[in-house]
Amino acid sequence: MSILTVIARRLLHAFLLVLAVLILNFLLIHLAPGDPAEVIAGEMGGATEEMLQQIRETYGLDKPVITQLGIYLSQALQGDLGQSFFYNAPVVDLILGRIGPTILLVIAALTFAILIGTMLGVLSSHKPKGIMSGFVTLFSVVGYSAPIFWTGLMLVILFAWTFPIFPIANMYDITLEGGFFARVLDVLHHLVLPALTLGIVYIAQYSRLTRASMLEILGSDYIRTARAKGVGEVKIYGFHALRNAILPVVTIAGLQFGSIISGAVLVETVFSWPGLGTLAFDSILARDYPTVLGILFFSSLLVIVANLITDLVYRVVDPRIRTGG
Amino acid sequence: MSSLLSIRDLVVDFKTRAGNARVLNHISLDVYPGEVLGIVGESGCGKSMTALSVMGLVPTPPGKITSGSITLGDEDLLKVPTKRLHQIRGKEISMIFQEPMTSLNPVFRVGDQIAESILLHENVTKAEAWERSVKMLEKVGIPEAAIRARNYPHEMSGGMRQRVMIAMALACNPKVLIADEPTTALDVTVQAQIFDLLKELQQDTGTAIIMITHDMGAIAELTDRVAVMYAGHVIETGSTKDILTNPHHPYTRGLISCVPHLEKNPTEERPFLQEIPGVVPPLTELGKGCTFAPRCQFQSNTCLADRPDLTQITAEHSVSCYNLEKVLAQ
Repeated sequence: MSILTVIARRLLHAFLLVLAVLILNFLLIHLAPGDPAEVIAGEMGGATEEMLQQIRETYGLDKPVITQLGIYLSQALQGDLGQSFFYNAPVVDLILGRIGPTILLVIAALTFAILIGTMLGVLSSHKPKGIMSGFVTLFSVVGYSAPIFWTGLMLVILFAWTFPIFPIANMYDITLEGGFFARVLDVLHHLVLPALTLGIVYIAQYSRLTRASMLEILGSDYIRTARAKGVGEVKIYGFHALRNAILPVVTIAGLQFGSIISGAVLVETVFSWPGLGTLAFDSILARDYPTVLGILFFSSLLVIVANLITDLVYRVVDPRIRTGG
Repeated sequence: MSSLLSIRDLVVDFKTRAGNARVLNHISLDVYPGEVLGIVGESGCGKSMTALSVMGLVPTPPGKITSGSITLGDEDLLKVPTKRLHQIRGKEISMIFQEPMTSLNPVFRVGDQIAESILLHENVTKAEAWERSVKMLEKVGIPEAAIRARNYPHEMSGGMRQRVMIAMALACNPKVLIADEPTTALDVTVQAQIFDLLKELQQDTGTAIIMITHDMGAIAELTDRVAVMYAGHVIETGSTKDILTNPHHPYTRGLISCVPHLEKNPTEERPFLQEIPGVVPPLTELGKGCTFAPRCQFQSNTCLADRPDLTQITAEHSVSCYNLEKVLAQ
């Protein structure tokens, strides 16, 4: 099957999936307790029953849920996710303004996780009972079990307070003057701590995963073959074995993209990172249905795209998938 | 003629929960230029361990080469630095394994896997190495080699993969090729093809081959000399003809009579399918005596008390047994 057919087929699947996600999210959120009209009225300083009725009419909240769903879907398919109750702005604009930083954060965290995780895994597979391996095991147990906000605060205390290497919060320094490169560097500088915080759980997981699959692969026949033809140890570990050991990491990383996005909500709150997470947090508190729905929609879109990319990457790294279709 | 590869008094121990297992017990073997030496014996007798020792691939721990020497030319392979060992592997000595299905790396193209070997040992460009790996594939009888070189291992059958392994092993014209039961995992018709191929390439290149097998048919067809191993010892060596037509050791005799035959009326002395009674003793529980004594119909008190040395009976033929007269009289 050619790569284009695969992409076309996956896109069709993705479209159906997105539709299902939209419907499910919509129904779920309307099942949740709380009346947005009352929240809006509360923001306005209280309201009479008449005013509440008026608010409901304005936002179409008085219609039956099914009708609301129909309206929502037809608008969504035209790229309109409605008007935010709370920010009083189009939801699409709100999200597009915030999605960039989140994607940046998530990708940085994932990069950290994959690079550092596999590196630690390879190092600890060299002498599975050695000191290095013990250190990596300890690190991954701590990294995996510590709650993300705690890790974040500890990193802030250590690297922004005790040793002020990295900024405490925000995405950029607004007082900074300088050209494009200076600004890029500034953002990267701000990115390190939040990305590390978000990535640490995954670094822990991937290092364990890589270690386990490295140990299995190092005992396999084809590694013996490589040794028998005179390949040195560094190349055995870093190339022959790692190229195979990375496969489960690719699979898991793709699947975990969704949970990394949800982790981003916490990290963004700790580091005042201006992304979707903070927006989601605020709009849930405000019962801002359209915004919450829009964010859910976009994050499922991100997950679907991530899975598509994973599939394609997998075809590149594992030739056996290619013929399997 | 001086030997190409010479193993002297090689001892390999494995630490196990049951105690120390001496998997190779003072093994001495010689391989001469251009010959095919067969090593034959039951599973667990130390055939493969001998091969892995030569390659420096004994899994350590739990294994350990306790003493002895393995000389190639004027170098002791057990003493050379790791870097030199990497140069020798694949270039001077190479090896093909039992399991062609799992012996190739699944994520690299077979052509690249052969080319890697050439690039490691010779000063050539990537393009030249690729060209040579295609030529090697042609040489081992893979049709449309230029296309097949771009295949991944999973796109090939077991027989094809073993051909690739042979191409890889011979890519740098090694002096010695170790073939560790190269056909065990293949079906019979493919086995014959692989044997023919090895024989043909051997005559072409003059590479000496150490052929490890438990298949007496393969021994008869391919080898010039044979070493019979039992429980970590070489118990008989000689020319293939001598060993097959005039075996001296009771174990060798047993092995040869175990080959099934198709005679119409099997007799009491030569039943349809013969067996050697008993099993190989655990290597952790070898006593002082001859390792085969517990299964031997000729055993005497001497056999149980002391292990016989390998004694020369003709210029080429050696055997370790105290009761040769009794054995030969039968």
